[in-house]
Amino acid sequence: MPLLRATVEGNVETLNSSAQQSVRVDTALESIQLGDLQTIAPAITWVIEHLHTSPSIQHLVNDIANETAVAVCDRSYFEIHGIGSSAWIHSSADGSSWIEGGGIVPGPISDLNSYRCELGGLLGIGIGTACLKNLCPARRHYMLTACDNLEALRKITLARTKVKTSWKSVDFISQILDVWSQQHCQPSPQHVYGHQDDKAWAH
Amino acid sequence: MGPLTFVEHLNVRMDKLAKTLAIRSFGIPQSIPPAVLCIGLGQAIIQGSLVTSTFQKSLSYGIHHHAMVEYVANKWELDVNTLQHTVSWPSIAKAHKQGSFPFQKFISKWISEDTATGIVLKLRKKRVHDNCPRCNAPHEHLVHILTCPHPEVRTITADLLVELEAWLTQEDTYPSLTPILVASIRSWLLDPYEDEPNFLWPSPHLRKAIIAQQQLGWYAFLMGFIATPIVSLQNSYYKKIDSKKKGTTWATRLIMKCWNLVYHLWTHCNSVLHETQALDALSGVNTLRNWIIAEYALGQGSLHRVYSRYFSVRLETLLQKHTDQLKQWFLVIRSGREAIHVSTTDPFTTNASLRNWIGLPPIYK
Repeated sequence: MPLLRATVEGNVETLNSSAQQSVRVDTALESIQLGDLQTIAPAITWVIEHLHTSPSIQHLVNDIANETAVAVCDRSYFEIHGIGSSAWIHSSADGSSWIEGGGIVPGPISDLNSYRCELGGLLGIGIGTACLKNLCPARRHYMLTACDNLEALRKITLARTKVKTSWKSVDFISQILDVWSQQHCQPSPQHVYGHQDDKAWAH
Repeated sequence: MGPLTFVEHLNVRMDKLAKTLAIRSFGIPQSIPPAVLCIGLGQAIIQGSLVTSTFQKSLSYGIHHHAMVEYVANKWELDVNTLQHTVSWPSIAKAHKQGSFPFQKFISKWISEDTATGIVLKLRKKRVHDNCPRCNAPHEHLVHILTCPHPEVRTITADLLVELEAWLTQEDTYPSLTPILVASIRSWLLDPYEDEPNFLWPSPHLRKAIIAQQQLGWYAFLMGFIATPIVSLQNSYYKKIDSKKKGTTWATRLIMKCWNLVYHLWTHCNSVLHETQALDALSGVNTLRNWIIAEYALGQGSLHRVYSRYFSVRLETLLQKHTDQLKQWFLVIRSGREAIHVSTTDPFTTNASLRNWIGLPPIYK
């Protein structure tokens, strides 16, 4: 295959490429205390700007191993302020043991939308699960992963080879797929109808 | 309706948490997260902004957009940062996308100052004079095309502004914004060098928005460079009246309206140029007449006898002929003289524009 020459003009900063081995590495800690357990520190830190857990997460870890735990995410997007955030939770089946996290979705305002924020939440779920990787069984197991955006949900089970750089929020999509590919736990996507607050009030 | 399922309950809980996190961050500038090794596609930052979507397009936009902003800021004598951060760029991009290809070409040429004004045509040696075909003012430039004091132009401008005002009202524009916008544009079109009109500001937000636009200028506004505070103000108004419309869409449509206004004034200028004798006058028809008289006086001289019939017509009859016929007569005689190296010194031997207009071969030095 012939080598093609490309010229990039302007102020482009490359942080990760085959030619530049000294990439900027996240300065995150190697381990982190979640509830009563010591877990692997998350690779992506913006998804845990907010991080809170139940006093013990042992029950959650057990439920993940038993495939009864659930992970849910949602987002909030304020177009006029140019702010989007996402929040995610891993919970045991009875809701007694949980980890919740969230953060402000990074990226240019022009690319920010509810879909990107939702993908941010799904990335949070993937990262949260990766933190518990060493505590979970070393065999393929599934965790119900729920989100109210079908399009975003479809992306988490795609083949990595199908990802195109011409997609919107492709940075998050590639990160989500890579995070899940590096662990035994796999997402079992489920759509949940969003904004059910009214339903709760009606009830 | 039954009670919430466990998953729905968690979704509502996360919705609230996400809202809280977002609200807490209002007004706090965002930082770019550190690059992550071995996860995802890596990280690219261009002009201080993360590339997150449609990589090729975003990189190309990042590079070319900045170059364009610098170019426009330089042309319009504006601060690059002001232009970069005050203009509602997504609205311009959408308006450009929605326009037809000829229209996209028209507006790109106009902004890059490549439109065929008097000055540009004189520079390209296509015309001898760079006067306005409508008011005959010298050095016709883009701003002059929009602000020409010719009565016909004033009438068209007034009509277009009435149409714009009606459109703004129809689009549920913030009521206090419409008269200020129209008055400001009208004032600029009447005299671009005059001070801004005085307004009684109904609200500080409106004042801030209009001042942001004044910093960019009303020429920039007509070019589609609408200040973001105006778009935000309109968006807030739509929310206030419970409208589903968006400020950005309003801005996109307003940009199209402004471009149409510019296009109308441009086509009027063109129609005057091509449907009257203006083009001939600007190309040098008077000079041509003078030198036809000189050539006629010189007579057939050493020209071949086939040229004799060109001198059989009476000069008065010849001069009354259409410009095309005058050009043809002069082209034949002058080509004949140049072919036998008859030495003459007049504007047609030195001026490239005149030679080009007549159809004589270019001057080679």
